[in-house]
Amino acid sequence: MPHMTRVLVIDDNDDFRKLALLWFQIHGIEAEGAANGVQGLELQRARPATVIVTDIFMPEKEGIETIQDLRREFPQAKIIAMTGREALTDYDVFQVAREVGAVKTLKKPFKLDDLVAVVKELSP
Amino acid sequence: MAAAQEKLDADQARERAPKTLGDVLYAGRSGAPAAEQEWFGLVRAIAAGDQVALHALYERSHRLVFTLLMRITGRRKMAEELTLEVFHDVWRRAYRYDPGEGTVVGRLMNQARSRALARLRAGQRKKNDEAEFADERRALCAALDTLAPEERQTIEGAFFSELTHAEIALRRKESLETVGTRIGSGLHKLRQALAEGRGKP
Repeated sequence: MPHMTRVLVIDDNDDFRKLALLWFQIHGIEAEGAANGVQGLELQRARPATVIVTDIFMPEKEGIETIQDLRREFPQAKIIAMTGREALTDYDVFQVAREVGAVKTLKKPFKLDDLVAVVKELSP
Repeated sequence: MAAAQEKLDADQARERAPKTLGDVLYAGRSGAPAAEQEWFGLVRAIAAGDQVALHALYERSHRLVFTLLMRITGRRKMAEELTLEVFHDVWRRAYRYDPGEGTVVGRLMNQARSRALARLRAGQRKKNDEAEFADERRALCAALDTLAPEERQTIEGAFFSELTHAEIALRRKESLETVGTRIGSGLHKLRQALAEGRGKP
């Protein structure tokens, strides 16, 4: 059964983004992708998603700033922050992501089925 | 007496030996290192489109940049590429240079360092990405094999080539409706194949 959820995946990693989008669609969840925060915001303004999955470290506009902007413009959207890279600084990026508005955080590698489950859990 | 002479010779040799990286890089060059005002003058000329100034800046500083890049990356080819990138960036962005933000050489070195780290991280990341989601990729490849060729090509066009339905329709000389149908049936079959193969979804 298709879900009413619409997901926006923001990740500069093309392989992951494409795989995740297909995985969501296979599970009956409408999904679109953006390669960076700027594109993600534009897409969200054009076709708002209910759940947004965003990488934390990205070029152009990095994830924390993206989450802040999304939270400001789209307070209803649920944001999942993810990263697999080592933190380059000594602070906990996930904690910062939560402080600026992410409701869930995921560390790669995770199972895509787990991501789908989290999205369903957050769906209206 | 001989011991005293040996000590004297050793002291003189130490005096002549290069003490800093700058001594090594500028060995054999006459005159003192350029004043910051000169460096800034070059950057200003580059910002105005002066290629000779870019060449002069390159001549003065590329060894320093290259050495730093070699030390960070440990790879000659990568260091050479990044050195060119650093100076290409100077050419494109010299107009943005603000003397209040640090010395020209300092900026070049920062630029080199961040480019090197970004390149190394990208390489590491690619390795990690290839290893990530391997189970899903394998399962998906097996599931894609269950599709009819036209469904598979349509699904691959939509999700891997990121084509719009209209673009796929144009390429395949099919109607938009047909493309939509193929994607729908393809996704359904993939769902079934994955469910059969892995008990999910």
